[in-house]
Amino acid sequence: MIRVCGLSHHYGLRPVLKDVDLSVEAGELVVLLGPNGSGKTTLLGCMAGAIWPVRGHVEFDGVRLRETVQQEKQLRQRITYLPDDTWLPANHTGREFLVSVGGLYGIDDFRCFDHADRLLKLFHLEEKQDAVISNYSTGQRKKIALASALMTEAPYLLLDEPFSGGLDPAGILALKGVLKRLREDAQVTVVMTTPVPALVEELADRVAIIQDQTVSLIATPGQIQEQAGEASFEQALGKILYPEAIDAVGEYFQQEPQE
Amino acid sequence: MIRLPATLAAFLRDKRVLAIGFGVAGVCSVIGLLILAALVRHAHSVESLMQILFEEFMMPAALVLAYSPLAWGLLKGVVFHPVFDPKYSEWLARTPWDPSLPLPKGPLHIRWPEVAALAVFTSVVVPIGYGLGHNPATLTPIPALAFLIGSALAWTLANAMTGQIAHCYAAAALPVVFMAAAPNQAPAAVLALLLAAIGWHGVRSALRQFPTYGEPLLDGTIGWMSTREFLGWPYNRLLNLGECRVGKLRAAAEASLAGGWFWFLVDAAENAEPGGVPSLFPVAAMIGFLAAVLRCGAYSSVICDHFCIDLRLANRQWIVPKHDVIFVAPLLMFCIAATLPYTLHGIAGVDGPLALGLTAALVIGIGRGMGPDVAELQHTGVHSKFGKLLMQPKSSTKFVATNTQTA
Repeated sequence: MIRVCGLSHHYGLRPVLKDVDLSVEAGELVVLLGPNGSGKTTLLGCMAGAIWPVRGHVEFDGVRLRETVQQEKQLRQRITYLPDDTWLPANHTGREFLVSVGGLYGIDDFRCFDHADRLLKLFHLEEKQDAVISNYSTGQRKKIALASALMTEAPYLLLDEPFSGGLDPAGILALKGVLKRLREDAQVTVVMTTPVPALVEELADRVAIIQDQTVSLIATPGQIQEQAGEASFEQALGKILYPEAIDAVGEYFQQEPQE
Repeated sequence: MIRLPATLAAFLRDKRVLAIGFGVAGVCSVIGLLILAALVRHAHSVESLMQILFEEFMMPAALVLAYSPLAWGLLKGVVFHPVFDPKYSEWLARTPWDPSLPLPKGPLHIRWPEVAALAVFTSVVVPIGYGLGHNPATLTPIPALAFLIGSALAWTLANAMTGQIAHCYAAAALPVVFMAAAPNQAPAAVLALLLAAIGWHGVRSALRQFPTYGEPLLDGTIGWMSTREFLGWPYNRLLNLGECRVGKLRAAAEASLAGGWFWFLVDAAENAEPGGVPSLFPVAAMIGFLAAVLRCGAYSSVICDHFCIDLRLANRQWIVPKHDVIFVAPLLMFCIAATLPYTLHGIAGVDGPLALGLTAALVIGIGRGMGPDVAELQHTGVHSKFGKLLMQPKSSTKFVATNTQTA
C-alpha cells in the first residue's frame, strides 16, 4: 500500500503541490490526471523518492522513504519509477540493458535471460535485440524503457506517461494487457499518468484528479462519470478538468476573420 | 555467422566510437601525409614510396600506438563514471545499485579484454620500435603505462568532482615528490601504478557514498541537481555557493602543492637553460595578478555591493575599512607575486626556482585561506552594507546610507 501524507513541494517560489494526501491499495491501478503543469510528474517523482518534498512524506507498506539507508535500499528493490525521458545506455543492446537491469534488482541470471526474451518478444523488439540502443527509433526506445521497468519485477510501478513517446498500437495493446494481468495476477500496484481518457477508463481502478496544486477528486471512472452527469467518461473528464475547452474551440472558429 | 563471446562483443561495442574515430582520423592523416611527402620528395616509384612511408611514418605510428591507450583509459573512466553523466547518475540513484553490483553502463575497473588489447598493442609497438633502433625493454611497458596514466587521470578528475579531495591532493603531489626524489631516473612504472592506485581508491570511496558522495541532501533531490536552482530566491542566498576560502589545512596543502609544482617546473626550465630564471619573474607577477582577479571573481556575488561608490563619493571617505577588507587578499597576492621573487633572489640570494616556488605557495595560500569568506561578508552585520558600519558616518553632517542609496 502506498500512502502520501500532507505532501507539499515547490520549485523556487512556485508552489506545485500543497498538502496532497493519497492512498493506493496493493494491486490497485491509479491514474493521476490533471492539466499540464498541475504537478502529476512532481507527485510521481516524490512517490519514487527522486524528488524530496518540502513537506510531508510517502510510505510504502508503512515504511517511509529515506528513513534509513537499509530500508531505502530494500524499498528501491520494490519500487520501479519510469520517468517520461528516462536514461538509456546508447552503446548497449536492448537485451544487454534488460539483463543488466534485472541484475540490479537481484533477479537470477537465467530468469533474467528468459524474462528479457519474453519482454523483447512482447514489444516486438526481437529483430533489434542485438542492436545498440542508439540505433532504435523513438518508439522502440520507449518500448525498451517500458521493458526495463517490467524487467525489475517490482511490486510497485510508478510510470510517467507510459503510453506516450511514439508507442505504436501494438505496443499500447501489449502494455495495456501486461498492466491488467500484473494487477490481477501478481497484485502489482501501479500509479501512472496518461492524458488519454479511453485508456484511463479501461485501465484505472481509480482516478486521482490534480487541480489547484492538490488532489481535488479521487474516484472510479464510473463515479466520475456519474458525478459529472455526462454520457461518456471523456465528456465527464472534459467537464471536470477543462470546462472551458469546448467553448474555446467554438470561440476559435467564431473569431476567424471573414473573407 | 561467427558470434564473438558476449564480454568481448560488449567491450568492442563500448569502444566502437573511439575505434572508429581513431581509425578514420589515423587513415586520413596517413594518406594525407603520404601524398604530401611523396609530392615534396618527388617519389617516382613504389619502392621510393615505401621508403618514404617507412622513414616518415613508422616513428609517428609507433608513438601513436604506444600512447593511444592513454586516451582509451581516459575515455573509459569519463564515459563510465556516473558523475560525468547526470542522467545516468539520476537513473542509477533510483535503482537498488550498490558498489557490490556491476555498473550498468560499463565497469570502471580493468578487464581481461583490455589486458588482451594492450598485449596486442605492445606486440605491434615493440618490433616497430626495435626496427627504429629503440630498446625493446623500454618500449614494452609503454602501452600499459599509458593506459594506467589515462585511467588515473579520469579517476582523479572524478575524485575532484565527487569531493575526494585527499586523493586529488595525493595524486597531484606524487609526481613532484617522485621527480624530486629521483630527478634523473624517476621510475615511471611505479609512479603510474601509484597514481592509478590512489585514483582507484578514491573512486571506490566515492561510489560507496553514491549518489550523495558524502554531501548532505540540502535540496532533497538525488543526483546532479543544482541546489541553488531548486531552493530558489531568497534561500539560495544562504548557501554560499562559489565560496573561495577553504580551511587552513586545505589552504596549506594547496599552497604546498602549488609551490612544489612551480619549483619543480622552474627548476626543470633552469636545467634546460641555465640563468634564465630572472626572466620568469615578470611572468610570475602576471600570474599573481590573474590569481588576484580570480579571487575577486569568486567573491563576485558580493563584491559589487562592497564598492559602494556613491557612499564613498558622498562621504569623501575613499577607504571604508570593513568593506575594503575584501580587497586585501587580492592586493597582497599581486604585491607578493610582483616583489617577492626579486627580494628573495636578488637581495637574500635564494635560488631562483625556490624563490618562485615560495612565491607561488604564498600567493595560493593567501588566495585560498585568507578571509573574510563570502558567508561572513554576506550575512554578518560587521561587513554587511546594511549593518552598523554604514549607519555611523564619520560626522553627523555627512551622508547616511540607506538601503536604497547604497550601490
